[in-house]
Amino acid sequence: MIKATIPVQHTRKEPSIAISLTDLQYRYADKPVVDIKQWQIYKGEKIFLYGDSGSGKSTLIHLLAGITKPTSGSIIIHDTDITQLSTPQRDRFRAHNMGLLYQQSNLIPYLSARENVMLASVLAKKNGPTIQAKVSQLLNDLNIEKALQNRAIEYMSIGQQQRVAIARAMINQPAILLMDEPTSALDDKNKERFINNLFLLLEAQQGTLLFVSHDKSLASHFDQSIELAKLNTVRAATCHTSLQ
Amino acid sequence: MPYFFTIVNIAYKSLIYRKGAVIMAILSVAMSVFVLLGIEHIRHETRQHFTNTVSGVDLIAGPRTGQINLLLYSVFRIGNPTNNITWKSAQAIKQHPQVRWTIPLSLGDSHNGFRVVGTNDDFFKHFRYGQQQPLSWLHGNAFEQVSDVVLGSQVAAALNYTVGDQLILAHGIAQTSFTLHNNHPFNVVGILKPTNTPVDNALYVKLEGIEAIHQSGDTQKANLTPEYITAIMVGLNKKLATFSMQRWINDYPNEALMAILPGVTLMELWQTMGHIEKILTIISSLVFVAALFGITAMLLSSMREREQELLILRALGASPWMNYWLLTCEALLILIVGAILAIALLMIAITIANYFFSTFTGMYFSLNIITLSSSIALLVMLLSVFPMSLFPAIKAYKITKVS
Repeated sequence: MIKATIPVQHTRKEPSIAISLTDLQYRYADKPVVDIKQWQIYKGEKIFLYGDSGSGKSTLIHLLAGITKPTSGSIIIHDTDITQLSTPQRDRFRAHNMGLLYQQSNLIPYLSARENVMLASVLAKKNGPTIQAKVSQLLNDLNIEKALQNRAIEYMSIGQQQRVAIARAMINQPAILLMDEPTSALDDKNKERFINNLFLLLEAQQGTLLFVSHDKSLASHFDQSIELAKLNTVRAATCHTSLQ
Repeated sequence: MPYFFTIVNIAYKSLIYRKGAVIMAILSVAMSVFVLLGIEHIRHETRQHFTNTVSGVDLIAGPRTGQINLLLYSVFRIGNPTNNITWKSAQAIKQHPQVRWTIPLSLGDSHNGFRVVGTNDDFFKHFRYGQQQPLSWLHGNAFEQVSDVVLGSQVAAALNYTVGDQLILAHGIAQTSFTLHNNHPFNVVGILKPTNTPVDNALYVKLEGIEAIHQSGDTQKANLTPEYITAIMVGLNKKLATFSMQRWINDYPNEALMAILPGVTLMELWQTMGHIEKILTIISSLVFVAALFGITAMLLSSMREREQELLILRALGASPWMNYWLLTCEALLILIVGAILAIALLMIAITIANYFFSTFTGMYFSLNIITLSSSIALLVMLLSVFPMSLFPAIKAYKITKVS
């Protein structure tokens, strides 16, 4: 058995595993898109996964989130093999344990910033009595002023939208944060602001972060940087038909 | 509960976001519900109206003709009498021991399009409408003289007559008759209270009055007893005697007579009308189904542009069922707003129709649109949304499943 184990440096004595992939394969229209023999991420790690477009990174994020079901193999997240769960169970698992963030259009355009963030907590059934205050606090922390919080997303700039998206991804304090090119639609100034806000919030939460991007300049902010091409044994050339 | 409110809120805002297509969908629903409820209402009200008109009359006797024809011209003043019966036969019926009262009717003249009924005092004494209500007076009293006339409330209102006015009757029932009974003017002595039946749309004179106007001006006879009348309404002492009395009239040896039971003949009329009603109901249902397909098509075609939105919901942990509920909720909102709009439009239409047409039909439509059958129709409409939303929901599921 070929073990593509990635050397991981961690400071904790008994690190527990947040995500564990074994023999993960995903084929789309009979073409292999993702093929990962073995990969583990430890709890609390902030991983930067570098990949070009077409390297299957969006598909990998969807597999980890349980939106797409793998053709074969197992995905164990916090001791739960999500490939063994039914679709509604995976939906619930995702709502409770994961925060997702895409390149753009993370938010429902006709709802306000506040409603978008609330939606995540309602769907995860984590909307307690203090939720309103919590949402306000989170949006304030992300420099979304009071006046903006009740405005529909469609009237916000992309930079503002992505910061609201962070709030939306983090409102439930998810154990796992999955981010797919969240900064690629942002200019340098907004990109910096995004990363700073993200890491400020992450300090308070002990979540695991998997950040996928083609922008290598961001790698320095993370505990660890991995190249997807080394992980995914499907050659890039065959992956052009894969989904974005 | 917050889950429910969240879905309603998203559905509402999503509809506002797509208002162009949504307004069109609402209008198409409103139109179809308008047609559906409108037809249902007219059907219901017409039946009510017809049934209310003949309360308390056990039999109607007239010449041998179609049963429905006799009912229509004698009670509803629709169509024309084809033949008469002799006054002698009418008297024979009146004197039958089972008969409690009779109301003779002599038709064939008109005034400005309103029909004139020749009758006697018994009409005001014995005629009942609605739930056995007797006629009552708005102004004045019953006729006494040969040249007295009593007006139905609609006639008085439409032609602006009051007690004391004089009017001239015309021969025939056309609105513009060339044969006016100029030589015999009538004095208005009484106006009846509205009954919401054809009673309101007629003028009432004594049988002798009808007789008088049909005699040529100079040869005034002293005896104005009519020779013929059109029909006679009969009230019996005992309801049980209805069929034997009907047979007695049908078998009357001296003249070819016919008696009908108004209720039974009305049922026959409904059976004939039933086919038309059924066709109208089918057409209006089809119009509604078309509107429903319209909503589904609108939701289906919006699925592509909503792909992102659906993916976001799924990423947040919304199940495909939540998408279904969201789409159902959107369709329901369209339907409810459309239905409310339709009901409002229908009420306006009824008010306008009452204003313009009740003078001629003698029929006021009530504004009470929500009857049992129309609420069932509305409920079926709302329920039909649940299976219909499955189509866009399945498409949404397919979009969000592999991507």
